[in-house]
Amino acid sequence: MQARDGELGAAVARAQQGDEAAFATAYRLVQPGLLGYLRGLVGDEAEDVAAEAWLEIARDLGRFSGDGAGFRGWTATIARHRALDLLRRQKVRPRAAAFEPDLVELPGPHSTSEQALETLSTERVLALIAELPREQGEAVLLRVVVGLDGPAAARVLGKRPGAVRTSAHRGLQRLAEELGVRGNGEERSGTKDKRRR
Amino acid sequence: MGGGSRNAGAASGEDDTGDLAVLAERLGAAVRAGAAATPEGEERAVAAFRAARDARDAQAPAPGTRLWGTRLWGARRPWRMGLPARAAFGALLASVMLGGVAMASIGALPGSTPDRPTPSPTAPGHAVPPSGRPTLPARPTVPLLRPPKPSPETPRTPEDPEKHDHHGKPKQKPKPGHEQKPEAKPEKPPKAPQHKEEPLKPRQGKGRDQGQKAAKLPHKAAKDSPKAKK
Repeated sequence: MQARDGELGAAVARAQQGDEAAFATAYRLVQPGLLGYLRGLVGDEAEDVAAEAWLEIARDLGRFSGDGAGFRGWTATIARHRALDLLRRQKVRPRAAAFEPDLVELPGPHSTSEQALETLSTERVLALIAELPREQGEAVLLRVVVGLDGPAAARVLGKRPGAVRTSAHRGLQRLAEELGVRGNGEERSGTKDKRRR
Repeated sequence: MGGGSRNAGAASGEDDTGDLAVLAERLGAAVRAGAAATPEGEERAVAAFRAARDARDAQAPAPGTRLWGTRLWGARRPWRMGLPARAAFGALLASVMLGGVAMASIGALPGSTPDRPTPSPTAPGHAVPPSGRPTLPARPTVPLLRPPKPSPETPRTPEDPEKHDHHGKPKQKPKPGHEQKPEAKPEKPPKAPQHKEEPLKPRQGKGRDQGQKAAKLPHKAAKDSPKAKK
């Protein structure tokens, strides 16, 4: 459950009664996670797919029933379907999808993990996630960017919660290694002593 | 969730170590920071919401409206009769039928004696009392309107096909007036036929009278054809 899920749930309920401003509130609360998720799935076309997703969300709003967290899961499902449709269409037009490895400069071995984390940019994170096996990448996106819990992410993916939990965990561990952050508690801190390795 | 949430973080704390949970939150925040909601996107989404809401409100059909085509308002409209007109038809038919029963009961009509189960030249299949119709043991309406003759289009009792068989008459379940109606059903949009079929059912229920109706109102059969083409 995210911090503003209560606010989101209330806004969705009012929007379902026809409250336009409430729908705008819901949009503002959901869009960053939704668009970020789509960036991970389809890269540059995320904005277009997100716009399509919101059309569908607006149209089908009456079919939704649940709280704020449920709404985030429901909208992520819609977004995912739109993204998969696009990917299917794109099979005839090969282009670098987000899950293909990109040539991105990663922090070199001399930079500390703290610096690496501090300089995390959207592009870098997405590039790192794109290098994960697809199942791990999607699980990480849903857990980390959309902020869904295990069961909710599993519903979006149509998989068992245990499998999704494992995928997300493994994906995060790999990301931690890539960034020089040890998942076993030995996070390197370079703020005070850069010679510490 | 959303740009402003920093605490609670990504929902990974339940099964990840603390460090991974922290990492997850930072990764999530980094991605969301580059995916902020824009005013344009918000306007578009709200416009879609408005359009969907207005379309939902507009789609609620007025009572009695049939949504399955514009031809509704053309030549067929007169046939979208309300209850009073159907009641008038029903009364007309009833009076004719009763007249026929009266005529038959006094033996005024040849071959229309309801008790005779043997084939008669008028409507052999109808001389046998149809089941479930105690008040009309035969179909005196047909003999009423036409001179006694074997007529291939008189079979009007689809529920008694056997009675047609042994008289050597062909089974003709599709009737001239009804022929197109079953074809019309698959052509209609899924939501609409429920509305359309309601008024038709009573007429179909009186199917055995279609012969008389067709004879009395030949233009009606013609109107049924264009309707059914829909």
